[in-house]
Amino acid sequence: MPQIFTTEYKGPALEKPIKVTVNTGLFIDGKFVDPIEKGTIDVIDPTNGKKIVDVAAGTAKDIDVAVEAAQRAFKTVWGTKTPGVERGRLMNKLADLMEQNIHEISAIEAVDGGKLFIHALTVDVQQAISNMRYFAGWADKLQGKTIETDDSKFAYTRHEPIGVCGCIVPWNFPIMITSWKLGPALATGNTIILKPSELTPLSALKFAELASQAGFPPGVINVVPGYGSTAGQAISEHPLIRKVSFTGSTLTGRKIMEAAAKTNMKRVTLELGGKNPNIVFDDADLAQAVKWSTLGIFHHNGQMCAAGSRIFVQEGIYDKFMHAFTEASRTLQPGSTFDASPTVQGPIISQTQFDRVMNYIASGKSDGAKVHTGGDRIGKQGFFVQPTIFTEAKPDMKIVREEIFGPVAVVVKFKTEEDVIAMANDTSYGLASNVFTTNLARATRISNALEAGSVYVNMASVPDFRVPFGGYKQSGQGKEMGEYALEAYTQQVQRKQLPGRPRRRRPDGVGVALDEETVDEDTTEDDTVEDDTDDIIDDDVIVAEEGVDDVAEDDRDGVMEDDVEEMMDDDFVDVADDGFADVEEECLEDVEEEDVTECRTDEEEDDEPALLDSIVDEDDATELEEAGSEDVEALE
Amino acid sequence: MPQTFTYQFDTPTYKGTSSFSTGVFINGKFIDGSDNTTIDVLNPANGKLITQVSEGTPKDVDYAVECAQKAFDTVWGLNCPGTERGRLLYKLADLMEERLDEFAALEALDVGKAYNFAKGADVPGTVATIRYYAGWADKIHGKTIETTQDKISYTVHEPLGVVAQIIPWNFPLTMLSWKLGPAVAAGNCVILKPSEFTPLTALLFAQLTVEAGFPPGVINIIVGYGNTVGEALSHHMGIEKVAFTGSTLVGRKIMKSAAESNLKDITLELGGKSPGIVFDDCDLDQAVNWSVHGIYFNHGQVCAASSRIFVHAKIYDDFLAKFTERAKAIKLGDPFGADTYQGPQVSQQQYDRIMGYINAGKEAGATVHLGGERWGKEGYFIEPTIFTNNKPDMKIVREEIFGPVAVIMKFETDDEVIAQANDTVYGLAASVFSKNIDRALKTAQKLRAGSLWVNCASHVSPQVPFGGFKQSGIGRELGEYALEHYTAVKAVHINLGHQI
Repeated sequence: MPQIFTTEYKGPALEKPIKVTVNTGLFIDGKFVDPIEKGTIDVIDPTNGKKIVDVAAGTAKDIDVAVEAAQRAFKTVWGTKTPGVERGRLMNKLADLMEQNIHEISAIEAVDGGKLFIHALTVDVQQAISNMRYFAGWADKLQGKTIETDDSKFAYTRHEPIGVCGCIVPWNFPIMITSWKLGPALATGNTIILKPSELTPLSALKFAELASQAGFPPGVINVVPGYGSTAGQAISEHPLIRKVSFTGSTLTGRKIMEAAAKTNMKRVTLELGGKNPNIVFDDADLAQAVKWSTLGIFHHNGQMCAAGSRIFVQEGIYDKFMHAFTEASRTLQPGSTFDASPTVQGPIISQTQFDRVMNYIASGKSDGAKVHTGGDRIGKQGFFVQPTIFTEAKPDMKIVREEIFGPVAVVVKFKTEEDVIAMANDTSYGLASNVFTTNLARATRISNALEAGSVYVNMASVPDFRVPFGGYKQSGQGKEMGEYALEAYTQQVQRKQLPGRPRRRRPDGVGVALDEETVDEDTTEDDTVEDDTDDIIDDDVIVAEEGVDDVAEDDRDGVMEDDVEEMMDDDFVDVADDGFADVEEECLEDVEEEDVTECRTDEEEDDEPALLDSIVDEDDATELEEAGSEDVEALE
Repeated sequence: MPQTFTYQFDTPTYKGTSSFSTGVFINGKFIDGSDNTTIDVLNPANGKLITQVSEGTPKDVDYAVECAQKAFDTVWGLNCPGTERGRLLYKLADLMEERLDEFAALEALDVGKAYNFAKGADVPGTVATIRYYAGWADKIHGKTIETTQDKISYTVHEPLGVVAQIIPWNFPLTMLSWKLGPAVAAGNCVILKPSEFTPLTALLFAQLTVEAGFPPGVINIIVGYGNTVGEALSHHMGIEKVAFTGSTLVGRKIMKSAAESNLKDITLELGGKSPGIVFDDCDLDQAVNWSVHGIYFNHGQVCAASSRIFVHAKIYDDFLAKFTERAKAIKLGDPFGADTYQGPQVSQQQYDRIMGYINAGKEAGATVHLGGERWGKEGYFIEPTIFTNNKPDMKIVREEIFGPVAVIMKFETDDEVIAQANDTVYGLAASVFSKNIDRALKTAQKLRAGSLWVNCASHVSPQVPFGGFKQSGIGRELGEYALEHYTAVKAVHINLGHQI
C-alpha cells in the first residue's frame, strides 16, 4: 500500500494552517498502487534543498499496466461510449472539487514548485480550474461537418477521440499545464496517462484523488510519476498510446518526436522552449511597459517557456526604461513560500537548474556582456538567484541565443522597426513575443511581422484558457487552450455513404470497407485499419512533403546542441534502437509495407495485414496517388 | 405586495411543498402588476383554480425594458465576461437540479402532463440546455479576415441588447431554457413572457435566478396575456429582438408588429403538420413505438408532433393493428399517477378546438378508427384518436390539431409519399422509418423540414438545432446555431497605412 503524506503549513499568507494529504502511489485504473519495480523519487523542497517526501516512481512496466487500463476504459466507458454531456458533467464536478480544495492544492504546488503560495493560489490553480471548466463546456460541442458533394453521395466528418494519450507535464506550472492537457483531452473523450515531472509530482497526485472523487471511471485518468528516461520514454514509444502531448525543452521534444516516428507514429503535440522578444518602443506607456516586462521575465524566476527574456528597447526611451526596470528588479527579494508579499522571489526548482542558470550567467560574463544588476547566488541554502540584467550583449552570445530558464534578462537597444523585427526573429524559437507601443498601426504591423505563436500587445504573456497557445518554428507543434486545442485530441474521420448504389464492390474502385464504416463504427480491429487507411490517404504523403521543409529549416537554424533540458530530467536516454530498427528500415520502403508493419507491432493480429492489403491494393492505391498529386499541386 | 403561492403536493408520485411569489418579476424583485390585477391559473385535470398570479401590463413592460437596458449598459453584455455569464448559468442549472422534483410537480399540476414525464424529460432537458449554453458563454468567436497588408479586419459577435421572449404552455420550462439559454449566454438581457395558462414554473425559476446571483434586470419575467404584454413586447421600440414559440397565426402578428415598430429581429418557432413516413423495410415494432411517441407524447401538444403518418401499403395493415393496440393501451388519468402516460389537454379552449377538429374529420368522411371522444367527466381529457380513410384536402390532414389525433394514410411509392409529405405550408419536422440507409438518406434529403428524424420521432437534443422551413418559422433554436440569433456581427476594419 502506498504511503499517505500528511503535513500542515502555516504562514503570513494563510488565515489558518492548511492541512495537506497526498497519496504517494501511482494512480492507475482508479486506485493508488505501488510501482511494480518499487522505485521511489525524492521530492525536494527547493527553498532549502531538503526532502519533502518520497513518491512512487513508475517505470515502463507500470506504463504498460496503465495503458491497458486506459485502453479498456476507452473502449468501454469513455470515448464514444460516454456522451459529451456526461464527460462535461464530470469535468465540472472535478473543477468544483478543485475549487473546494484550492488552498490545499495551492500549498502543495507552492511548496513543491518553489513558488509563492499567493501566486499558486491566484494564478496557477485558479487557471487550472477555469481551464477545466472551459473545456467541460466543449465536451458536448464537438462538431464535424457535412460536406456537399453531389446527389449520389453523402459525406460528413466526425471528430473522434484518438484513444489513449500520454501527457508529459513539466515542473514549472504543474497543475496548470496538467489542466491545459487534460482539459481538451478529456472533453474530447480520450483516456490519459499523465506523467508529472519527477521534480513536482505532488499536485498531480492530489488531482488524481479528486478526479476519482468526481466519479471519473477507473482507467480514464492515470497518473504515473516517473523519470523521463523510464516512464517518459515508455510513453513516447508505447505502441498503444496514440498521442503524446509534451511540454518541456526542445531537446526532449525532439526525442519524443523521434520516438513517436520510430514506433507507431503517434500524434505529437509539443510545447517547447522559447527565447521570446519583448519589444518596447519609444511611444510606449513607460510605467506599464516596465511593470509588464518585469513580470514577463521575473515571474516565477523566469522559469517560463514564454518568458520575455530578450528585451529590445528603442533608443529614445532606453535610459529611462533601464532605470525603472532595474529598480523594479531590485524590489524582488527572497522570502518564504507563505509570505504575504507578492514581490517575494522564490528559488530555482533544483540544483541542476540552479547550476545551469549560474553557468549561463558565467558564460555571459566571459563572453563580454555586462552584468547591469544581479548575477549572483542569494544566500547559501536553497537555490536562490538574484534577478539579473545583462546589457551590451552581442547577437551571437549564448545568453542571447539560448533559453536560460531563469531570472536573467538581456536588454538590447534598437533604432528602427526593421532592425528590431530582424533581431526579434533571429532565433530558432517562436513561442511568444511582447510588444509595447501606443501606436495601433505599429502594434499590428509588428504583431504580423513577428514569427511567434502568441503576440501580446502592451502586456506580457499571461495565459488565457480561451485563447490558443503554442509555438512557431522549434518552439513546438500544435496548440493548447482555446477551441484549437480540441484539434490536437481528435482525428477527423471522413465517412462516406453513397445512396442509391448497390452495396458491393463497384467498378470505380471505391471499396466497400469505406461504406461500412458508416454503419459499423465501433469494431476496434476495423478502427485500426481505418485509421491507417486514413493515414495513408490524408497524412503520410503530406508529412513526407513537410519533412523536407523541416530539414531545410533545421539547416538554416542549426540544431540546438546546447539546449537546456529544463523540463524533464538529464537522463532521457536516446530512444533505443533495439526493437524498432526494423520499423525504421521499413520507413524507407513504400507506404503500404510500413503500415502493415505497424499493425503487427500494434495489435499482433495475423489477419489484419491481409485485410489491410486488400484495401490498400485495390482501393487506396488510387486514392493515394490522387492525394499525392493534389498535394503536389497544393504545394505549387 | 404580491401574494406568495404555497402548495402542498400529496400525490402518489410526489409529496412536498412548493412556495414562491406570484408577482411580476422585474429587476430582480417580485412586484405587483401596474393594474393590480391577477390571472387565474387553472388545473386542467379538474378545471379548478390553483392560484392567481399578478397580471403584467404594457406599463410593466416599459419598466422592465428600462431595467433590462440599464443592466445591459452596466453589468451585463460587454460589461460581463462570458466566463462569468457561464458561471452564473451553471449555478442556476445546479439550483434547478436540486429542485428537479418540485419543478416537475409544478409542471404536471399546471400543464396536466404526467409527472413522470416532466421529471424524466422536461426538467432534465431544461437543466441540460442551460448547462449546454453555460458552456457556450465564453466560446463565442468572431473571425479575423485577411484582406490586404494595409488593413486588419475582424468580426466580433456582440449581444443584441434587450430581447423579448414569448413562450407557450406545452413545455413551459423547456421552452424557457431554449430561449433564455442562448440569449443570456450571449450577453443579452431578457424579458420573458410565459403563457398565461402555465406561469408557475417560470416564477419559481425567477426566484432561483436571484439565488444564483444574476444581476437585477438581466432576467425579467412578466406573466400576461398575448394581446397586452405580448403585443407590447413585439411593438416596443426599446427591444432589439423578439423570439416567439407558438401558433403560426400569432407568429404572423408578431412579425407584423416588429415590422411596424423598430424592425426588431425575430425568431419564430411555429406550427407543424409533420409527416411520419413508414417504409416497408423498417423495423416495424420500433416504427410503431416511435410513431406512438411521435403523436401521443405530451397529449399531441407538440409542435413537431408526427401527426400525418404515411405507411407503405405492404405493411399498412400490420402497422395499423399494432399502432392501434399501442394507442389503446395508453393510460389516461391523474398526471400524478405512477403509470399515467396521458393527462388532460391544457385548457377548455384547447379541448374545444381539438374536439372541433375531430368532428370536422368525421363530417368530412374520414373514419374514426379509434377514440374520438372525451375521456372521463372532469378535466380536459381526450381519447387517443386515429383517423383512417383520409383525403389530402381534409382539415384534419392540412391543419395542426395540437391534440392526440393521428391521421394515417397508405402509400405505394417513394416519390408519391415524398410529394404528399411536402404538400403542406408547414415544414417543422419529419420522421422516416427504414432500415435501408440509402432510402432513409434520400428521403431525408427531399423532405422540406427543419428537423428530420430517421428511425425516431420528436427526439431533440440541446446540441442540435431545431426550427422550421416554410411557415413553420424563422431561425433556429438549440445548438450553436441559436447563438446567431442572439448576437449581432460587427466588422472592424483597421487601417494600418493606406493613406489618401
